[in-house]
Amino acid sequence: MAESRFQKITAAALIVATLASCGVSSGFAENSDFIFDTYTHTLICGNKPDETISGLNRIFSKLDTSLSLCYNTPAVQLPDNQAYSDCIAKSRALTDKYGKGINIACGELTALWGISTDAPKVPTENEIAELLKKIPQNDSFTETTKLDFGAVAKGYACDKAYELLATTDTDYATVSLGSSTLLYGAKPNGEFRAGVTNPDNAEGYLGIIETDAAFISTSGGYERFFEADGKRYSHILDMETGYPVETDLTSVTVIIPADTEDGGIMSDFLSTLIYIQGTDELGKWLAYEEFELVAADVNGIVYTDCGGFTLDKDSGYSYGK
Amino acid sequence: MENKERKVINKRDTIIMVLIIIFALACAFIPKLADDGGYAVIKCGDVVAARLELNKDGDYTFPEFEGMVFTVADGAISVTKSNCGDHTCMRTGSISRSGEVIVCVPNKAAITIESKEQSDLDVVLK
Repeated sequence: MAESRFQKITAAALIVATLASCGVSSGFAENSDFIFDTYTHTLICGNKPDETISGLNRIFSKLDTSLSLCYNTPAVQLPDNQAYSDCIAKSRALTDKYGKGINIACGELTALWGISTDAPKVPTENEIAELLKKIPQNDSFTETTKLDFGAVAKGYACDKAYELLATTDTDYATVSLGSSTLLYGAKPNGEFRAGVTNPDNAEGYLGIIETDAAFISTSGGYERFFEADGKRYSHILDMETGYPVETDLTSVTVIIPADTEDGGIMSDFLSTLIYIQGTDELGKWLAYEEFELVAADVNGIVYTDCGGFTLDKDSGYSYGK
Repeated sequence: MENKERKVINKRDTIIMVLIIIFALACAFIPKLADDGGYAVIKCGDVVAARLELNKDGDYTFPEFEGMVFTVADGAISVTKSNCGDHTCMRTGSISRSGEVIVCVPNKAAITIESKEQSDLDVVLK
């Protein structure tokens, strides 16, 4: 009698413990790595989470090789040729829909500046002017053009992560690829919470976004830049001038529901494009229904149409109209 | 008396079960941590290079990260010297809450926090 009672109680306790920590018959697995020239972190809660992590890692390392700045490899020899042509087609479609500003054919320009290398440098005006004449547009480059998928690769990888996760028994997952993130599934005790880094102070937050499953991308000049002769050069280049973009925005975050087709690449592309265009064009972007955004400008004003966003009261920023 | 014996769950069982449930929930939600101020975990790629106690102030160097200095002060860790080109790691400043991370891509260094002071964030966007 005493034993069966003990068994009942133990069984009840085990069930509660399991339910409390994760879903039914689920486990956690997490992994961090350096891919896409950034620190990546993945957390999976679900059935067979380790297998899911391995699957994601395989996808990411293939994509990293296909889409990184190793543009001298002919596309036919790449391990994931599909990703290469996919990113080209989707970048063109996004440019057609949302406008010019991001040119994946700018690989030569990126290389000239040495952006994201150990030795970035300021080219001469002449070098830039000569190169600008040669750089083709998104829709007119040839097989020998050097491509730069910097504004779309991580977002595209989030799309691929979503596709894989949808085939697994995963309760929820966070896939963080630096500037692009996938928040997948549903957490047992509420929405996902994402902190937006304060562009003026890397130790603090601009605010917190509470959201259901979503693709989120952030662009800004505050993290990746280099200084030469006392001037700061960000890693995002202006395709008109050939110089790092001069914008009055300091940080732009785009949030797209996770069930949106190609939502990852779209969030990556849009956060960069909106950042480049500055506050003048913000009204247009805020009017779109298919995504939400949080933008901060140089005057300490935050513009947002994101219902889940809460401004950090210690951020030094205030809401615009 | 016999009646009582036959009851599937009596009052005492209920009390014990409630206590176990509370204990189970506590185990699930309170992270298992040391009694002190937490740790900074420094990884080189995917390999843990060091675990530093955040209540032991000092400057630390490791053979894996030549030219980098990790400084622990006031329960937080920061990178105070680095030979990398962009110094993103140094600009990140100091971190002390779990969920926060300092990264040096050129040196493949990543610092995360294991701490009692839990961040309630799933992800930090940067």
